[in-house]
Amino acid sequence: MLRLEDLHYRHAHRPDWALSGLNLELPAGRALLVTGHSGSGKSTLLAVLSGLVPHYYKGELRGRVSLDGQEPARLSLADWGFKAALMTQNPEIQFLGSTVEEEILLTLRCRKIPEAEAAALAALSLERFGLKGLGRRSVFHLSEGQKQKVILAGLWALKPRLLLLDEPGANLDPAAGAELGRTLAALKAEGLSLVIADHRLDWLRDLADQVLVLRRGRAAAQGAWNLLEDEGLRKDLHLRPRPGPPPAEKTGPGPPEGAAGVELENLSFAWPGGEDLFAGLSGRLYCGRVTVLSGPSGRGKTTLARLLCGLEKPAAGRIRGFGGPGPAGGRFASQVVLQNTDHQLYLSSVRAEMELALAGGPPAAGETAERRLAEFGLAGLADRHPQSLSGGEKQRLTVALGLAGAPRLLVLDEPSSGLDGRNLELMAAQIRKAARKGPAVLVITHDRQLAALCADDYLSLET
Amino acid sequence: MPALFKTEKLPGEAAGPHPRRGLLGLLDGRRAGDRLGLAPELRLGLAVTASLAALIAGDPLALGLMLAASLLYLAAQVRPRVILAAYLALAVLAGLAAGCLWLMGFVFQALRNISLDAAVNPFLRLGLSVNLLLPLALHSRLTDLSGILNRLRLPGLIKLPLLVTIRFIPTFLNDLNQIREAVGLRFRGRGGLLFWARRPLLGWRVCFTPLVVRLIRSADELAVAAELKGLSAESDFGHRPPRLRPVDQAVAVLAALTLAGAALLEILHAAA
Repeated sequence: MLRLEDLHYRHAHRPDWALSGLNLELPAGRALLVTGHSGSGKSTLLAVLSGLVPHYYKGELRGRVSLDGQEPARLSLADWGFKAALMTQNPEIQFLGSTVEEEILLTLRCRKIPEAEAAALAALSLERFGLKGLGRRSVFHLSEGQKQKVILAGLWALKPRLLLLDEPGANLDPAAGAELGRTLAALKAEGLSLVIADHRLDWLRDLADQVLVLRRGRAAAQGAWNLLEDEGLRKDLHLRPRPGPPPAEKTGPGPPEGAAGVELENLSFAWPGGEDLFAGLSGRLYCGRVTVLSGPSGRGKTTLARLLCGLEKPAAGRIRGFGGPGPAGGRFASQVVLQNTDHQLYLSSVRAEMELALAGGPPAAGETAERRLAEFGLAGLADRHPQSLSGGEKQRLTVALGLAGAPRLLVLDEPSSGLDGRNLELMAAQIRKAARKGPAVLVITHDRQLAALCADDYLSLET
Repeated sequence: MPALFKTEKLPGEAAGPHPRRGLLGLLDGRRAGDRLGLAPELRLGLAVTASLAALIAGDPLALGLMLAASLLYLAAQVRPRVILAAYLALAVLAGLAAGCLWLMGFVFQALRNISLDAAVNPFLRLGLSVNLLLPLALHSRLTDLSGILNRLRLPGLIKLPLLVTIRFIPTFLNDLNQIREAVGLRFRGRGGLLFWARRPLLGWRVCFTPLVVRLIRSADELAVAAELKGLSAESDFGHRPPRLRPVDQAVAVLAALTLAGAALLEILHAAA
């Protein structure tokens, strides 16, 4: 039984409580969903439950956390890890080994499990998680879903009582999300308790027994899943809305006559030494419209974006844009917003970033950095260092910067992975607004809610 | 209206994520570019021995010989593109150092009259280190290195940072790659080199701000991951006894000959 009693936590050198007055009981074999707006304290709660607080992150911890009567503060982090195991949002960072088998073995050997026992446990774990044929595969050659499975397999072999998962659904396509849901349901049936922190809720509908919604570190709502059926509550607490049915591949109302966009003609691509990622791909992206591209991981969505920007060259076929040659030739004015925002922010203030981006575009009367930032809800942050912003704020800023140069083609790669409901709506509205000004916009996403909010045309690289 | 996209063929899940190019391509599988597949013990031994020799040697010819031999050793194990990237980084570092030295010469007169040996030797030593450490870092498994370090009975204070540093290299190269692409995309169409020549400070910021931020964040994330994993000074991943194949023995002999040649040059230099 996991028990929280009047839990408070304050980060070192911060005046406010990051977690405040949390009470909870989670019996063995049950799953708890923790959700809330960006910065509500979800990841902090996982840090407390995993023992990182107080062993790694300092600060002030009050109240009591216990699992089967034992408290993390009274055990070493290594010993607590046998009881409560954490899978972080980016599983790749947790890898120490280079192959699947080595990674699981290392997880066990780090915990000083004898070599022979570790080998037997690793073999069992590979089989249990359907990874038997992948033992010698490089961990860098796995899909996101497979990477998560490898981490889970290593953690499962340690036989913990509690499994903690930080945003496990953020980078998964719907099929991989459903598979992870089935895996977690099976673990729950074995008696493992689960605590899952996530913005994306609905893939957890059949899994979560309890729900805790945080607002500024406090329990804003707590109970069974049905409390999330209330759309009003979702909106009030900035949670994501319930998704509609999966969108069918569609083309919206036709573009105005003569609206030249980007045209792909029989495009083929293969990585060196590999089979074709896609072949004979043809299509168009229209000016003034948002095209959402989705499909399972590994089918070439990001590669297509890289082709459109000239980062890769097609094996065959060609890309023509705006009546001219493609990215390899004329490099039509495109902007790409990549997934990792840390790599795309350079200056000492948000305002300076925007001014630099605006300087790269055509002059526009009355256009100021402040006005652009206000459109994305960032006006109050103009003097902050861009790298000090939250993940959602950085995502909005990078999209705003991408649009500031008035590109003719804008490609956004997973722009909503860390966004709560309110920021998701804001992002979708700005993408639509930007498209109406003329550029062809391509949004690559697994996020069906974002697709529903902003797509004019919806495409899937599936069949 | 025709469908926006039509395709003749899309493969299934088997395709998986793409193999990474450039620097990261080296980290995939076991392992692109590694034609020799040398024993990790030999790689570590060569790196340590050559580093010590480089510290002792003071003759540019002796260092040059070791550098040339180590470059062949590197070329046999690492793709030319990666070597080029590493040497480009080295050239930037050398340029920065030379610039700083020139500036400091205005303050410290002695720095204006340094000998050729003193000016060249640090870069020869740096190149030698790169040539020997790159194959070690790129082609060694953590389990192998941990086993060797345990056998050497090195204290945890040395072993643990070394293991985490080796684990850090793929993450660092990944960051480097992504920053390069992000900068290229954000600033293209602005005049290329001319744009950067006019704004050297901006160029400096654009290169180093995300790099520093990512270094700090990645280091923190990796430290958390290592803590969660239970990686500690006492972690013992076991080891297999070393098996030196003919290719390992041949490389060891060539290395010994190179060291002997360097020693001879050093003696001649001292006598002169």
